[in-house]
Amino acid sequence: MARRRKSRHSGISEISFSRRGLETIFRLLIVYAMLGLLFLLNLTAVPVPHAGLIKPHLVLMAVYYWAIFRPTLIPTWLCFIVGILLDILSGMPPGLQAFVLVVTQSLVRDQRKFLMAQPYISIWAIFGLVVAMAAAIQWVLYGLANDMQWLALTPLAASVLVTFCLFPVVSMALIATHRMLSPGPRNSYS
Amino acid sequence: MRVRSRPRSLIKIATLTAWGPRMTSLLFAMAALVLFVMSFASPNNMRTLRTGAADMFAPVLSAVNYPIEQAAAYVRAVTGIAELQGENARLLQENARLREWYHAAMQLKNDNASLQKLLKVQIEPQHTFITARIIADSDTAFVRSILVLAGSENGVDEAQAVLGGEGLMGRVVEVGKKSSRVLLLTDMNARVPVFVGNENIRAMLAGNNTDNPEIIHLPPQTTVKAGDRVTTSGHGGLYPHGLPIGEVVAMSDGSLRVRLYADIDRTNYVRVVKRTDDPNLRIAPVSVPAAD
Repeated sequence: MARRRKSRHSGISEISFSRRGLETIFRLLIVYAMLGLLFLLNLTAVPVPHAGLIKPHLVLMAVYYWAIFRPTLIPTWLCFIVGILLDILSGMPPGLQAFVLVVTQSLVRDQRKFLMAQPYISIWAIFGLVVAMAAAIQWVLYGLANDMQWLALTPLAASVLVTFCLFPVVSMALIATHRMLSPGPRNSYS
Repeated sequence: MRVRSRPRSLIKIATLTAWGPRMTSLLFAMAALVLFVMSFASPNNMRTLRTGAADMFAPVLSAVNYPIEQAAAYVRAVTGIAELQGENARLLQENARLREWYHAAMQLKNDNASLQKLLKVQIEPQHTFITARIIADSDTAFVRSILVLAGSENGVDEAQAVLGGEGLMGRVVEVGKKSSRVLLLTDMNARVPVFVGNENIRAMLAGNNTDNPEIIHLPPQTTVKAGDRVTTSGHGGLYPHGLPIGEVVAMSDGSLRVRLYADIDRTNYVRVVKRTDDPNLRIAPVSVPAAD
């Protein structure tokens, strides 16, 4: 009886140095380059008034998308490290974004089976819920840690709205990189 | 049929993967929370890590920022408003020059009044600046800070005041080799000792994560009215004396807030004030006016 592997798709843990392995590395690099670009765009200053306030959470979009379709690409430790880097470079206390990304990745990954069968519009709608939840967690944690000084909700709501509306744009790019990944073995659902 | 064994994982956290993915996530989530709480308890621990990470990313961020700025400039030119922009830029420049003289004149007026009481004070030369470009705008709803492309290599030191446009914008809080983080005045944790109005009433400017900070710790029985000028007082030794900050405005709900002279959204370059111990330094205009 053939042994069932935990995942039939290539992820970080399956890199080897055969020819197929090098090809896999190359394709994975494209995916991670996309992730890196989103990370950098999340940080840069845009010369538009109040741009900083309504910054969309691009990294969250990527984490959500890959957690549904290829969770092996963004293992928990990667989410943690990216979150810590995002915190450190944004001047926020380290651990806030890390917590949000890790929790999002684990919750979405658990619901993979249900989510993968949904049409795109449902995935988008559920992303709205995810963004709202992430913003709520950040608001609560930051308020608790700052001696119960609660921040204004309006800019936060605006940022949630912008992130929600930009999801189709970013997910189009993510789908393009997804298609470039090597197809899994024939008998897998992809 | 040959059974294909699983290739060796690069990541050998054997125990974690044995427990299962949920346990791993829980562990990392707990670690993130612990880090978060620790960073509030002792903020100095992460300092070298943060400056190191900022230094590492500074060139990449400025490289990514550059095309965005160029694209914005291109869009403005292409939409045919370039001529209006030229005229506008000339007028803005002249206005900026005149406003610098206005601030200098107000300061001179105040000095004159106090000198008449003291009769013998030496006026020292001006501050010197380091100019730096803003590369990352970490203006989230939670923390108001920016990353600038000047570090200890350029002479930036911790706790130096940062001017943007006409007025004070914030203070350097972390210094790396090539980049520094500036905490803006509008951040919740920013506190600046100030003088308000012509009588130089001592007060404190407190940021509250909105665009208009408020004035706290006014002495009792003093009134502050809209239009009063707010400048740094230099008390506490943290900020130099006499930096313009803003003016008092009455908000729609009747409270008095400060409208900052520094326009944070439209600033690309900031000036970091080099720190000296001389309390008599003042801010003079950068350009000398032509003889009119």
